[in-house]
Amino acid sequence: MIRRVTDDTMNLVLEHDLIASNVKGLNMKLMEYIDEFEDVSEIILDMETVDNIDSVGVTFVINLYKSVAREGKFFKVVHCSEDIKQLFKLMKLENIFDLEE
Amino acid sequence: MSYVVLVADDVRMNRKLLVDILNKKVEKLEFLEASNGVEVIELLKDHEVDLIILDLIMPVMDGYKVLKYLKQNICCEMIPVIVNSAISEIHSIEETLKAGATDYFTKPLSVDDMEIILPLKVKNSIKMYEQQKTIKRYNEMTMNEIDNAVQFQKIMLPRSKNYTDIDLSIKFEPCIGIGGDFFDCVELNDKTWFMIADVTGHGVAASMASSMVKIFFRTSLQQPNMSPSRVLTHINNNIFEFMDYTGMLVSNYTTFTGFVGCIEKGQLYFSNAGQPYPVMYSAEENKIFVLEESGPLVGAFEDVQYEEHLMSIHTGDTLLLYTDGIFCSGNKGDFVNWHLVHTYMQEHGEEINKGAEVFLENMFWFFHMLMNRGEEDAFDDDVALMLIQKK
Repeated sequence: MIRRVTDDTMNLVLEHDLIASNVKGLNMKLMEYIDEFEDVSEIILDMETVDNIDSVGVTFVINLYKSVAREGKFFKVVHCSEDIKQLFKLMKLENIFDLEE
Repeated sequence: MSYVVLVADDVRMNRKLLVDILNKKVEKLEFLEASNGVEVIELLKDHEVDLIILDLIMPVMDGYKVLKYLKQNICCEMIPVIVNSAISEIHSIEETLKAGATDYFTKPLSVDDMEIILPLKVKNSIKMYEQQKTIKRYNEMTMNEIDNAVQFQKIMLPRSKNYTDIDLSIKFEPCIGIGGDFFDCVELNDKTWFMIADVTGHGVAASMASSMVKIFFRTSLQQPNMSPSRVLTHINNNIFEFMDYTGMLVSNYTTFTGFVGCIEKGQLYFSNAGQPYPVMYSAEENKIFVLEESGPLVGAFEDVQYEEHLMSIHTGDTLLLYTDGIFCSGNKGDFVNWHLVHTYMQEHGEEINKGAEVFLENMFWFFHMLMNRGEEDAFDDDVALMLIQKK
């Protein structure tokens, strides 16, 4: 996961599929970044490279959203595939945070 | 604690030489001696051996055959074998190492071999064998615990059964080890309640969580004026009440997709929390209806209210509930392939009339083959199929 901070926004760009075997490493990276949330007003999760996601991956996105929301910041997911949007729709996550293509 | 080294050589002087060197250079060793391969095998029956130093050319049974025997027998396959032979051709060395020998020395041993290299290799081999035995012991303990958990999971889940208002058929295939799929069915005051759920992740934690879901499901049914949506809300509230994730970034141990249904007087009430859309097959119309209603995962967000839905259910109608393990291989991006289940029901739904158990078995193997698995290959995830036929 690459972190890019521009102006008031932190972009978290995923580099691999969002599956159980990758999530532990992502959570460790997130622990490094989480203190910096207070310096920005918006956190964007970029899922352009994500082809595959499993239930552990979904909970990673939910936990990230909750961490951001706790800080009172805005959160959105961008560049997610049509399949991932369908899955998020099944779980009603589209009502929880913004999803952009 | 001492370690036992078995020295096998048909020449007594060679055995004595090795024993003398190692006795001098390595602490805590005991020795057994054999003059041919048969004696090696006999000694292994009565003694715990930590290392074998093996000559290749011996009468009765040679060292090649001994090595082959050792590596083919589960009781002694891990014992390290250092070959000490007069044969110096590279082909023999290569074949012996390929057959599983740990190391190879050629006779006669040089002074450096005797004084330094052989004693160190003996020490290293014994140490590695100790580590392997420790890993094996821990693996056995872990597998034993998993076996117990699998048995526990089996007794926790219902089996196919005829109820007053419905017939329930189940096909459950847990992945290797234990997982987090859960289903239940219970009759209560003229109502038939059922639930299917899939806890995030696999393994022991998911299995523990699925046990918890069962308790929450059953206790929620004891509350007054319950409905499927209230059951999901009740379980969600319980999770946030009883689980303390304070200071933890990860909170997925008690997150799950779930579907709760209740059949009463020809009506099906249901509520869905992210479970792949169930399918109703109408025998009368030979048609399927996809229950495309859903809600957020249970255990993900506090204060969630789930939506309640209602449809008529007639004699002969059959509801199929399933977990994503049936259509999702985990590595092909096929996590939204629930439409394949719907298509299967569209094309094969009428086969339910020939027998629900056979239908579920056929469906299971259809998807097994669809995901390019051989007969011996297990699914990567639990597979739970639940067929509810209205009487």
